[in-house]
Amino acid sequence: MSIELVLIPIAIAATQFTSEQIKKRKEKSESYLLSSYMKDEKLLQQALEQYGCSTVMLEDSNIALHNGAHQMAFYKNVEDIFDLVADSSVSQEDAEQFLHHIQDEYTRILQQETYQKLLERAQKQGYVLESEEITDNNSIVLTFKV
Amino acid sequence: MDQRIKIEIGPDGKIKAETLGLKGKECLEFLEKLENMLDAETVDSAFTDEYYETSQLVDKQSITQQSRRGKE
Repeated sequence: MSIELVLIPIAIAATQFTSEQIKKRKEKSESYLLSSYMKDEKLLQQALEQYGCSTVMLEDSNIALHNGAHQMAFYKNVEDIFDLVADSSVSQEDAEQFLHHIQDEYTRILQQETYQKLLERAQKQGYVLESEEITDNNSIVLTFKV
Repeated sequence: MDQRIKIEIGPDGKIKAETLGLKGKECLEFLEKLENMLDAETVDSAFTDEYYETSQLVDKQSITQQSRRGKE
């Protein structure tokens, strides 16, 4: 063994692992905002649609969505990370649970995308895939001869 | 020894990578390569015993060579 690394895909804000996952901040009395770690609008849109939401792309990569009777939106903040904005018709508990599910879906899609990207790029580099396994916690472990 | 990389992609998106059989500076060169391949940023890294063993060997050789040059 020579070196061990921990990497975070650029589609995820690194703060996910260093701070509270969800921070709440009241903006106005009619609406509130929940912070997320999601940064990639295409992955987010895919996650929302796979969860059963209908989405509309707005300007500046923002996304409006319908989840059942509720209307919410994801807006990119100054750090280029999405915040979920919901109005008072949605309870904070429901909004937090919804965000939790969407983030789970988002990272699941990201895992598959990273896996595909790695296989393609490793092959281009001439690396030989020696083994591949799925662990009990659903991690994908790949070993390449380089 | 054969050179290998072991990469674990977690369901939370986090990626762990480990180089096997890569020595000294080769490991550091691999950091950038892996970041580009995975579209990811390194947030933590730790050298293992093998890295230090190799580095110490290189340092020892450098010192010996410098010492010889000094005597000449």
